[in-house]
Amino acid sequence: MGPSIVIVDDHPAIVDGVRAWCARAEPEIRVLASGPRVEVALGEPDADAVVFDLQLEPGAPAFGDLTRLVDAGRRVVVYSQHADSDTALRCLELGAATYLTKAEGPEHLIPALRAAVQDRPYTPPVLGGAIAADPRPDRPALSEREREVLLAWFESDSKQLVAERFHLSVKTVDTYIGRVRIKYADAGRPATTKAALVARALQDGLIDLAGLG
Amino acid sequence: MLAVAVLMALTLDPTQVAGPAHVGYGVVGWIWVLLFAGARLRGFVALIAMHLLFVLGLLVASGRTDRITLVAFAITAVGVTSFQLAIALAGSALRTVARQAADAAASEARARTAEEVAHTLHADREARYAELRAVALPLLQGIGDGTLAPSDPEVQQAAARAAARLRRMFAEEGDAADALAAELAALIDIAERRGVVVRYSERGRRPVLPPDAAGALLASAEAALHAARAAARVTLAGVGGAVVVGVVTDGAARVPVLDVADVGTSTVEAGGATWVEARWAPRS
Repeated sequence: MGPSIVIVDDHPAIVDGVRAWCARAEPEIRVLASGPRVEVALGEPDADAVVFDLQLEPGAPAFGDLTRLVDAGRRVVVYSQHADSDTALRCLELGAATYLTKAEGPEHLIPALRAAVQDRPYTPPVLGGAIAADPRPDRPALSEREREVLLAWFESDSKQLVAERFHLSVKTVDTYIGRVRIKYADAGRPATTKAALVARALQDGLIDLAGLG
Repeated sequence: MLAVAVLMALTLDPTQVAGPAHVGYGVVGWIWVLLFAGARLRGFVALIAMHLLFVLGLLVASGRTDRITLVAFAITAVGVTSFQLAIALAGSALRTVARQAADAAASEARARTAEEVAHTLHADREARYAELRAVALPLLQGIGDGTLAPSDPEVQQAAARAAARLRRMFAEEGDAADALAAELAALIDIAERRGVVVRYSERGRRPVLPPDAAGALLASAEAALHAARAAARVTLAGVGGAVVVGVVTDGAARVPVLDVADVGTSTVEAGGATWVEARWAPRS
């Protein structure tokens, strides 16, 4: 049986769109519930992941609701119309599995959900750009190559092009992008979802304990 | 200080309070002159007055209100205090003058800066109008006298570019830091008019580029976008002091060779997509 999710979004058209993508996915992703409020997700503890619109009310982004979901141990894929870096990085810091802008939905939402339910990192290009250009002094330290690969991923939205440019295999490009995401999971506020990402990355050999230093 | 002065007065024989033996006036007063040198005149005057009143009170309390004592007191008081007051007044006046001079200098500097900004803005506008005259007028004349065909794609593109520039000029988006983003938006606008679906993303903090570097980045993006058939991805990023413009299209771009300081370009092709990157990375 395929994974199951809950959709928290107050735009019926978005909910319908995500439902349609999930129904077409192979294997199918089941949508257990959907609604405009975060309670709909908290009331479905069996769902494997939550698609969460960050802007449920006009005004400030719903960081509080995101924190509630993360503290309840839910894997959250933030799906937002906010395109700014600060919001994306803040969501990672709070413990979201990944962050997608609504413009990235069609290609990246289903793969992001699949990765999230397996506690594997998934970094869509715009999030990659936010990480590559992260100007905060306390950001996790990236190697020059990691930053270049992430910037290239942001620019091209194609792991094949990135691989071609740096004469790497697509798998190695994936490893670089995944490793950076784990560095971000290992920083800042602790959360079970972050710990699960790090643990899975260790199992998969994406990182080793020395790399976490 | 006042307490010390009071003690000095109290320890003296009442007969000496008004006389030369009471050096307290002078010494304490001069120290106050120094202490209040940077502050307001009011505090200093109040302390001097309190001190004098206290000594006067002391004289009255000990019954020495005869004319000679009072005159002696008055002479000492006026003699010593007037010098101190004069110095304090002079200091205060000097401070006022200095402050006014500083204010005047600051406002003059502000005025000069505003003038400079206005001058630069004006020059910038003049330059843009000149550029527009060079681009738009021949186009309009050509279409008017029939030498340029409005159905010619080249003419359409030139017209779209001039129109975008006009719109920007009327909107007066003069913010230098975002001039690059605005020019890029104009290029995207042109591509979209051809029916190309463009996705645009911007990341990071960007420094202001030298004009030739900005021109080189835009020329690279323009060439790449020009080759797009149906879809393009345009990104603008500021990373570690460098500014990077990336364009991925479904066409084969021919990127001009640029010889501009600190600007490098790269072109990568894979799976039917062409990715053109132009990067300004100042060596510092």
